[in-house]
Amino acid sequence: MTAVLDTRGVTKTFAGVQALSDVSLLVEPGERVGLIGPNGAGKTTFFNCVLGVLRAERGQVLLDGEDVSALPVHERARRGIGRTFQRIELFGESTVRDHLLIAERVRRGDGRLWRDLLGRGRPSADEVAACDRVLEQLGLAELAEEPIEHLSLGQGRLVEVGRALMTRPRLLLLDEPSSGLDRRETADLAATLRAVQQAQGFAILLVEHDVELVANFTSRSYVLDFGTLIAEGPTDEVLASSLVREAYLGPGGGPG
Amino acid sequence: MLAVTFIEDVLRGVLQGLPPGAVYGLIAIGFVLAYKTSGVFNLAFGAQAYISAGLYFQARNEWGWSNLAAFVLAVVIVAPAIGLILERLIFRHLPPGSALAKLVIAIGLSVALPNLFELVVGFEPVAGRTPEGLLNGGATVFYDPTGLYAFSRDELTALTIAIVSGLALAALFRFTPIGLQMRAVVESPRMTELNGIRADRVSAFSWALSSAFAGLAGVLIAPRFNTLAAPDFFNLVVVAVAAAAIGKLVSIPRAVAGGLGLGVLIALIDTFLPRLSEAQEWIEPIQDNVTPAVPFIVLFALVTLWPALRRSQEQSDPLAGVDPPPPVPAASVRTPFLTILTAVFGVCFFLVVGVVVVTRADVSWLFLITQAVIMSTIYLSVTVLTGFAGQISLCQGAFAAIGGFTVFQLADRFGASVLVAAVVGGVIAATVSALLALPLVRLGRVWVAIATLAFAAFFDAVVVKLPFVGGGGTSLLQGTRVPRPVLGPLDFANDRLFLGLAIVVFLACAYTVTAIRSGTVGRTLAALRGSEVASESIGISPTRARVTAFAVSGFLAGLGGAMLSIQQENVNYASNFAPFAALFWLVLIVSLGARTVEGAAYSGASFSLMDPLIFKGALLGWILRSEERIPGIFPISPKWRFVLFGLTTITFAKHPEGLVEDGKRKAHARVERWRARVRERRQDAEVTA
Amino acid sequence: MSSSFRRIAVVVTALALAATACGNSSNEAGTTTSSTPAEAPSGGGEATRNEFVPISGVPGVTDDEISYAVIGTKTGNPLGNCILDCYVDGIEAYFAYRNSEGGIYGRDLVVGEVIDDELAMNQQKSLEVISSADVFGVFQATLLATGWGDLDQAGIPTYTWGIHSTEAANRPSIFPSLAVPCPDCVRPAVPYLASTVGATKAASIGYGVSENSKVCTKAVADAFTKYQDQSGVEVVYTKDDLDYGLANGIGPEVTAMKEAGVDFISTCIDLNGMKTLAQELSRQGMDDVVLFHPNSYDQGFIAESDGLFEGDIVSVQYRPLESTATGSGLAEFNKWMAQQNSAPTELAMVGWINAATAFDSLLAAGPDFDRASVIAAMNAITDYSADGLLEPVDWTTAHTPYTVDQQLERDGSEVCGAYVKIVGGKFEPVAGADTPWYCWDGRDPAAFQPTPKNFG
Repeated sequence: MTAVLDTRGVTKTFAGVQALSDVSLLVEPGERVGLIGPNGAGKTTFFNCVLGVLRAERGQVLLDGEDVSALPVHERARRGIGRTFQRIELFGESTVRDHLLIAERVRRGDGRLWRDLLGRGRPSADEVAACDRVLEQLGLAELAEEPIEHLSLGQGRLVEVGRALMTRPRLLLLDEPSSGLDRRETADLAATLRAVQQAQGFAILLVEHDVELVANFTSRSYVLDFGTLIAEGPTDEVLASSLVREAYLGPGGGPG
Repeated sequence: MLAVTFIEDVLRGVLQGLPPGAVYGLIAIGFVLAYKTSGVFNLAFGAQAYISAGLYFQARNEWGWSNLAAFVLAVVIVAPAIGLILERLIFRHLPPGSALAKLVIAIGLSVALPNLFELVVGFEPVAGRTPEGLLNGGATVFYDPTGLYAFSRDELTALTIAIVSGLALAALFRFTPIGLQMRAVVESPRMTELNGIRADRVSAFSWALSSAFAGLAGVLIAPRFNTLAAPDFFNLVVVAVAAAAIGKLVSIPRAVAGGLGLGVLIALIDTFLPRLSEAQEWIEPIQDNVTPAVPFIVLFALVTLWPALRRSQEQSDPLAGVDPPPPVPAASVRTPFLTILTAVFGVCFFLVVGVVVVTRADVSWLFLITQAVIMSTIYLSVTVLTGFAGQISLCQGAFAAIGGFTVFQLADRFGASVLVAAVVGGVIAATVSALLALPLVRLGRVWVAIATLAFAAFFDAVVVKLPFVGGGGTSLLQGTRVPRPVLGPLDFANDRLFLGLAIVVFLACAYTVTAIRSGTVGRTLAALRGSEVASESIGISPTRARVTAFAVSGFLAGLGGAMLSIQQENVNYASNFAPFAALFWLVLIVSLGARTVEGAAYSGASFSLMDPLIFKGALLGWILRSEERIPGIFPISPKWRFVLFGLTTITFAKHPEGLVEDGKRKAHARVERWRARVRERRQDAEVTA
Repeated sequence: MSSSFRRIAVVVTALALAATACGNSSNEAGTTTSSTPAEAPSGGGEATRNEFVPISGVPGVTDDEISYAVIGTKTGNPLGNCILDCYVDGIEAYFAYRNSEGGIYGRDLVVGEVIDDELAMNQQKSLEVISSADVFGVFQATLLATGWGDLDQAGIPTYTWGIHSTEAANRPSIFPSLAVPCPDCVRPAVPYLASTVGATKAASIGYGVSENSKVCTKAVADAFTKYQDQSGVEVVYTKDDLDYGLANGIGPEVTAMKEAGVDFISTCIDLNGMKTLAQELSRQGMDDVVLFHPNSYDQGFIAESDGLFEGDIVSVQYRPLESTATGSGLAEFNKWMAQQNSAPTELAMVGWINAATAFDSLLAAGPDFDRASVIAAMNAITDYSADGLLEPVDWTTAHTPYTVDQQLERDGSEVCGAYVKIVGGKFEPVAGADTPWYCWDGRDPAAFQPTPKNFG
């Protein structure tokens, strides 16, 4: 079986400093994988290289076996990478449903200028239905008409997830989804995510600080430190290894 | 021997380029200074320089003050005071990173300030009365140390001050605490406050310093102009931005070098290109057309081709994350009741106005109303580009002019129907707009604004006079006249009929624009405006979406420009479409509402009707039912119009949707509250009953 | 994909249909060429000047007055010269002069309203005048002449400052103070003037801002070439793309002219540019070069420039104020301007000439006049000189411009110009105080020697 995400020797330098060196990582279909590491370990840089926001100097990014290293962000997105953001990125002055509708329209790829000009650019009934199904799954159905500014941070994260889901991703990249949420909100978010993921069968790569979330949510993890992968394996084993505890939490540190 | 002459020519060219180069350098310094210390892309810098130059001239020549006293007034007192006022009243309240809002406000100020100054001081340009330099005999005493080219005392002063202040300011930033603080405050006032620095004081000092420099630059530059006029100073800023761009907008010594380099480059081109074109024929068209546009071409090339310049842009406050989220717009979702209420009100209003216009309006009111409708069509192009796509274009006038010139050329050369020609003009403008957008759309929005300004200046200096644009044999004899169309039995030489046509065109365009807003393109652009990274993450191509927006906008502007030319039966480029006129369009529509069709309509109406209705007192006359009762303060000087709208852009930071939309939302909220109260009272009554 | 192509095809077809269905309105630009009146009016002239005929239904004409509107640029004038106010001075002086003699047809001439067109609103203000219908004719001194087409279509007699030849062209109701019949024709005037100051090497320079200024530069350069044998002056430098306003200075160009040995420069640039040019010449030690100015007949400007222009030649669009006041025009102008305490500026003279044209067109139309007859009467006059202030204008042809490529046959036409030289900071008529004009025979293209003439 081809891996959904296969990075091979991804290397990136900033002003002479190696941010990533030779990072190779696999995510199998339907798998939930964690990527952890201390601040400045290069998690975000890695994320950006996978997405195409940054170009790696060396190495390849393969998506379903296809080399996407030369493609721009939106092309990679169309080939099946969805994502959420650490600092929430929503579209101001629009409703929850609008967020999903535009993603659905872009996925369908039938939005031509002339359609708009002929007044045929409004959302069709089945587009709305498709969005509402996802909103239902995420428990956002009641908020569909709400302006985005009325939402709580947790709800906003769910909207991001919903927006990403509309692209029918093969791989969902979650960037620190727990940041800014309290423990209960985090747990709710994780539960919802798991349910949706099991229903749709996409893979998840989770970049996270919150050890508890990683432990509960992922089956396998990679650990990044100073731009190098220092450990990989089943999440509980990885978290238990002393090497990781030292790199991640500092000598003698405990989770928290 | 030949080589010696050649070297002499080069050296002389360099020397000849230095005095104008010093002028560009001086403005570039001020520009960089303002940008570095306030984060403001201060296009109003020229206006500030103009005020000091004008004041110095007025005090020195008209009021008979001494050089020193005039200098103290214009540069030491008034210039920093203006900076302090701007900082205290406007820019202090803008969050860091709101580069676009700051740019828009600066554009507004560049329109408002010169007019305000002229009104307050009673300053008028006087032909041929050359402003005096700082030193006596500045223009008549020459120094010629090299034997190749003599500098006047004024030029030497400007050159020295440019170089010395360039170095001194660089040292200030590098070696003094206040310099470091000024830079830090721009990046994050909160961060600096955490370090125990009073950010507001530092920011005030920055503004005073950069504004004093604007004043100094103005007074030093003034002797180069034989008549002191505001547009010259604005044009200089465009040139100076090119110089500042060479220093990536942050390096003051490089900005000076850039300014000097630009002056020298132009002088060398003027020295050598004519000789080359004598030898090589193919160079001649380049020499003819490119020479006056060198700074604009340099600027455009720098912006589009130099990646380092872009990366230095659009910084945001690292502590911005702790900001509370922006306030929710009031009643952005309307109830059906309100929608109907608004629609009924709108229909009634337009019916009444329509009946009055059709039955009562004379030629001149018909002209104004038709113009308002057509300007609204042109403004829809800004609605699409600025309102939907969040891009600021300062060359909409050029696109509109393309429409007008297309109609002129097609009708003149081929006898084509002007209506068909108008559509063709729209298509050509759309094509030019899309091609222009291609290299621009991945840049930051501020750079798009600057590059389009460069294009507008280039169009104005080079394209307009080309034989296939605004030139040709016919235009030589009788200008760019355009006929009115005939459609079957309808002869649109009739002004009422033509008004009908203009309304049909506007409605069609308005329909298109609303359709775009609710369709894929509009939603895509809204998403991009909200978050570019998030948009890309769902597969939106920013380039494609923005190029589409530019193309649609270009089409609307071109079509509107064509309609305007047909209405006036002449393209009238200078009075309709020149870059400064187009700058005012942007100011107007951004103030009133760039997001909606209504905003465009209000802007069109304000553009042509505000002056006769309000400033000339006609409306008051109708209310008082007699022209004799109009109070003596009318007519109000038309300059107030520029002041008014220029200053209204200040609200852009708070209400980017514009005054109209803001007012409407507030009104809606009020109606909703009132209805809620009524309902409550009724329920109370039922309960008691 | 294929569906969008079909869409475009449909749109294109629709356009093609529209193209066949619609044409352009017939009062289209360029077709209003006929400036010759259908019939010459009768009954005009001094004999009937005091004859009163009751007239009704003619706008701006009452039993006591004939009223005119003046539209001009004041606010927003970037050139900073006195336009509207000075222009009105001239018109009012002329009206005062005529009214002191009893006016015309028992009525006084009055300025009914003075309108500032604020630079960009000429068309709008012109339309206001048209629709208010309370004046008989219009005077215009503006920088952007956007309203002349409407005034012409409305058939309103309009007398204008003649700086916009393109806007006056083919408009029979527009009477500019100066008609430029052929912008690109090669004339002997400048080469001749260069030869009179002993020049041998000439330059022709102009702004590249408009096609007209480029054409002006080229026509002069061609003239030097054409008349080189007669004048002994060779054109050695041409530049028609100077940056407007000369913000970057004109150093390299002056150096090139210096190296080419230029001793005479013909210019197609404005007053402010002239000063920049003269300063640069003086800096590069070329004070002796003679400049030909198209636009600098302004005593105040010359006085302020500290002798920079000494020895230069300036073209004047009317009888120079320094010439002998033969003909009644100049004497009356000086007298009435003095009486009014107004300065005899260029625009005042233009206003005076326009007002004289208005008066003379009334006089030619006869006591029972209306707008159409006044226009027609003027357009029948073949040698109008405004009491000796202008070289004679043939209004039967002057409205129709032509180019070298489209030569019009014009019999017996003379080409005249008035020129002054700056001597000791003052203007002196070049052709002589009694005969301020040089005239060339228009029928003989080789004619180089002018005849000094006087009109009026």
